[in-house]
Amino acid sequence: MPTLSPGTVIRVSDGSSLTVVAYIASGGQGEVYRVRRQPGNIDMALKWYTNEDILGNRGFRQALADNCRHQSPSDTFLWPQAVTEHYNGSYGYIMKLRPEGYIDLGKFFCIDENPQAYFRSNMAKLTAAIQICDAFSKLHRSGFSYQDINDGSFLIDPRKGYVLICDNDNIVVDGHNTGIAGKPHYMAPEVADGNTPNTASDRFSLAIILYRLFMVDHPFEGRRTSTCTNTCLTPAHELRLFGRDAIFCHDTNDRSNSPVEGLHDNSIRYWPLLTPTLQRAFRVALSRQAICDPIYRIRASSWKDIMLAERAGLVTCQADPGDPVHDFLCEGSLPPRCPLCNERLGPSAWLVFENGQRPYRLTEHKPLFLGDSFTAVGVCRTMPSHGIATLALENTSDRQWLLVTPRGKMMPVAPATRCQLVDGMTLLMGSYKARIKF
Amino acid sequence: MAISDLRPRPSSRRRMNMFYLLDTSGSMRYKDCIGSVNRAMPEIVDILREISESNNDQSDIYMSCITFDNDARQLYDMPVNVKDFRWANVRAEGLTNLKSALTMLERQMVNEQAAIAPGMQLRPAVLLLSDGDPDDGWEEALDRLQGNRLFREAYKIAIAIGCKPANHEMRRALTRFAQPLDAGGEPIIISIDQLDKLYQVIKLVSSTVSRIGSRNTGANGGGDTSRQILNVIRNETGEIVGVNIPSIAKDGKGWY
Repeated sequence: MPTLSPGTVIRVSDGSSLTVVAYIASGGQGEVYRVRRQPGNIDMALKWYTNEDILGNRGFRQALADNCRHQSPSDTFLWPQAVTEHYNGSYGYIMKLRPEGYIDLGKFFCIDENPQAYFRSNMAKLTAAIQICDAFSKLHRSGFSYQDINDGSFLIDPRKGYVLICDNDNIVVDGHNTGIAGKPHYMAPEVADGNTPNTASDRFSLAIILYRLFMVDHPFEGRRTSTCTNTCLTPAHELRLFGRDAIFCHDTNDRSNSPVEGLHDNSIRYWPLLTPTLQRAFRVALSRQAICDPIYRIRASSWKDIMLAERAGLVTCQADPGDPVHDFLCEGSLPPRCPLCNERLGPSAWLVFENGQRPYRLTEHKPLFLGDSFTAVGVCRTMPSHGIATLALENTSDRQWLLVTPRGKMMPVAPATRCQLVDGMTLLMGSYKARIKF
Repeated sequence: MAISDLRPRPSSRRRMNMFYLLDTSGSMRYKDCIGSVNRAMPEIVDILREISESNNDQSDIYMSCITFDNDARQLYDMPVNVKDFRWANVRAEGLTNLKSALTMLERQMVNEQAAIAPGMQLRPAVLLLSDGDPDDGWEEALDRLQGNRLFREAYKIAIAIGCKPANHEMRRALTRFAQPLDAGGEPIIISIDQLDKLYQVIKLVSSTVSRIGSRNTGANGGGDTSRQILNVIRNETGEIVGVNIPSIAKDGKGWY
């Protein structure tokens, strides 16, 4: 039963006021409402605490008020904007409303009940991964830790992979203790042991989130967690098997927790579709060493580099550019056929950058992203040449490119036009200069 | 592999079973207790659905209802997902055949153990609601049930309606039923003297147990979920006049 009824007026500490419009949802910490803020008549979201632990924690309210004064390190965070005054023994904070089309990450794990909650392409999956890593890298660099990363922290657009990070009320200066520990199955073992969450415990939870973005299943779910008891899984089992004694289901040193067919099918089916580099990264980030010793955990910035490399190497299969888009992760040379549909793959080329940025593979239908941007500036097409389909690049940006042929002839590539790709030619795209290599 | 295989399968979720044993003997007509049950149960189903949905990346809540008067009846043969559960109103008549209800519960638990991998089940909860002394035979049935490993681990909560000092057998049955056994902690027994509070109490107990139990780990990682459930129930019922959490006699034979 929602605590606040429509029409309730709540005062905000900055002098503005909120009128409750509608109840949206509830969770472990409290409830979320749509409210209208005056002056300005602006629709916003109000998170309203009902959890006694939080309401009794003075430090938590102070940390929240401090966060409202800080600027968000990234637009990905739905950052708290103002704390309310107390009303009927409780309080909350306001933030932007979530836009249409975003789905809770937790729903991606229950596709049976949420049929729209799945990534339409591996590119969307990588975009989500890069945005998450980028946001936490910036947060950690600013001296903050999130403290409670879990599936409820993320809203994701399954078509584009755009991410919004919510529940930012836990964010504090790294090392500060607000009394919030985290959600079981995502919580670092040292936090379950009673230590204060910090950037290192964030890295533990981040590795689990990234694994679940790609695999859906939980990385510590396997034979051991399904057969650990002859009765039922008790809280004591759970603390052990998802904490201090957790074993990654693809751990090469300990096979006791391998995924079980019928229970962990995603972990079985999608693991071979990861590149060896990504498999290695998960094996490091979720190793026994990393579980027990925070020093071995992978930083958000390193994860971001790994994901950017995956995006650069991604192959779009020409067979089906529809919904879902047919693309796959790939490093090194291109296989002759698509591992998903077994269609023969078309031509591919590399953009080799002069600034040391990693080479970017081009295949038909693949969008071109420069650097760590999330805005595509081009898309790879095919165009007929002497009766053979050859690769071309369409300029989808609003800036003109310059093409330099191997013989030194220069030609402009205006927005919305395309140029045929030839081995050895050079493209100047803003500050990026890249040579085409077949 | 076909393109449709890009759509993942749902991640496997554990289940938490909520078993209800509801007394539908003739005395439940007094002050319309049976009406309170019939009004509360559909709302409980809605509450459990909401809790299950809010936590559905980890677990689903399943529900089973066994009613007992001259005999025991089950609404469904096995616990069913709360999203598919439909309550059918019950009538109050007859005796208090707790024995049949306990035997039926034991059979459901045995079937559950055979059907679901043990690691995929969370601790179940069993809520027993009764308003009178049970008929003979309940003790043997409870002895057998207490031999079931799933029952031994379950959260067991007894709700006593209008229990008088003379109801020795009812006190003894509910106290024995609520013994935590392997799960540890204290028995959870709620005594309702003002019968119009029944509706409120069943809803409160159901939402508390399912919310804490389906997450399986206490707040901030603390593992003592039984104590957490008892504390929440104690806090919440503390303000309801005519409802109390009785203390259990040191010999464990009854409450006072």
